[in-house]
Amino acid sequence: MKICDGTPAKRNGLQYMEGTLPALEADHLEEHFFSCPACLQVMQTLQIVAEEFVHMPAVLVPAKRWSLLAWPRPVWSMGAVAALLLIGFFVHKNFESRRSQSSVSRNQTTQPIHATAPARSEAAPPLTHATSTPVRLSQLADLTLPVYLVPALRGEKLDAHFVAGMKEYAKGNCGGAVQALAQLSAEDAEARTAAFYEGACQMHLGNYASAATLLHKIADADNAPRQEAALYLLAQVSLAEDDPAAAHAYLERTISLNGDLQERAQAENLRIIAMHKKSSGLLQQKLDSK
Amino acid sequence: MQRCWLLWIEGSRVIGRDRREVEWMEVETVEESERLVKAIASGDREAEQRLVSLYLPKVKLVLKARTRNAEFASDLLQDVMMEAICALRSGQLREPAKLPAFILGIARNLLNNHFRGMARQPASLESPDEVLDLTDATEAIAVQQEHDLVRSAISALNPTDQSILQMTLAEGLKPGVIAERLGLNPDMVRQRKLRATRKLVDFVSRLSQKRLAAHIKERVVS
Repeated sequence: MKICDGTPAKRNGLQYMEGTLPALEADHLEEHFFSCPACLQVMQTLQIVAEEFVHMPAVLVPAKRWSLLAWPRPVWSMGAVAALLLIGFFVHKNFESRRSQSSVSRNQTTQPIHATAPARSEAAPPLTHATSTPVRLSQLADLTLPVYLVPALRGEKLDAHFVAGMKEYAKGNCGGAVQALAQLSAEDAEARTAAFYEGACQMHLGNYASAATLLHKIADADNAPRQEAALYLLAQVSLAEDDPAAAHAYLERTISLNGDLQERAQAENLRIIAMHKKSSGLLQQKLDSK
Repeated sequence: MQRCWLLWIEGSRVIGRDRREVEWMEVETVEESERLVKAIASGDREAEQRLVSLYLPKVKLVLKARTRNAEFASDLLQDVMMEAICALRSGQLREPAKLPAFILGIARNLLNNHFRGMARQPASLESPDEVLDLTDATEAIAVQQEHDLVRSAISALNPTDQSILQMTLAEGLKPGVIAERLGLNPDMVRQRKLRATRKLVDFVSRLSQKRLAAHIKERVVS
């Protein structure tokens, strides 16, 4: 006989109480706790918790304001290193551009005027041609792997496959990460996190269809952790597949969550729209058709 | 006697949480469903009372969660239980093992009818002549005890976690908005919400287990 220890209710109970659990999942949860005493107990506790909070006076917690002085020393030192690297990069870039400009002007002055016309047509294409080449939408896709922060939750034991997968992920070994993360069962507490990072790996590996399937699991679950990031990655997958309409839709959904990626998604969305307004009315057509 | 301890039930609220108890309960539920359905169909009033004590908390939970109105939920609760008993008396349930799904179905139907604005009157069915008493004194005490446990569990939480849960459950705010109010990252809010919920549930579970142990000890001594 299968013994339940209340995990389904602990995982989805709060969303059920809030009324944000998708209808199908809510139905499954109800059917489950109707015949599972452990989950019924968890649900009853959650309901009492909800009632208690409704009648409790508001808990006032001052909003945490980020202060630069409050940052730990490693952040300061890393910031200083990053600033130095940036300055070095710009100085180098500036130096390089001055050197190329001076070599061009030196060439122009040494060549006779009548030789310039044939030289332009036979040699490398002019600079203006290179800059006017339309950038393809797929080039806009940001396929870098999102950072994984190890949760420092006391008393929480993580699944061995999950830990192995995330270690591979941290090394940048997407193949190994996918292999380990795919072994997690859907019932596992870390299944959604695993699906997200597996999706990111599949995207990084260029398996866009698998990436989209995995990322949809998080993006379509209401209030799921990393929902915003999943939507943003889905937009990147759509961009990589040259589907601006889908990318636009995912970015709109990302923006609507008002999270950390809002500004980045807004900027990207505007870029997509601007690019397509310039080149053709394709995006508008696609958007209209959707 | 041993079984009685393993399945110590107070107003259909399972107090113990040992895995063995859970297994016992599941076996008992299927067997009891079949027995209850047969007994109610043959006119056993005690079986009706037993059915009410078993399913009332479950139906109440669904109705409260779906209507978000305790008063209305308790009105609807009467209708659901009455409709279930009427149907069982007339032998409408052909597969007794599906009793939980049957009662859940009735609750959902009545809820849907309410939301569609055409609430059905169970009076159209044969109404039970001896009306069931749904108010249970032991249940009320158990609920009060559970509220006390939950209050102490909440007070043991970190103020930020308390605030996150309150904004979620009392004000219905989304993690993005809560994050903005508290100056946190939305992902962090989601994570803390989950962690605080688990903490509360485990805390209440541990405390009620201690109470169960004390209760059993008291009984053995007496």
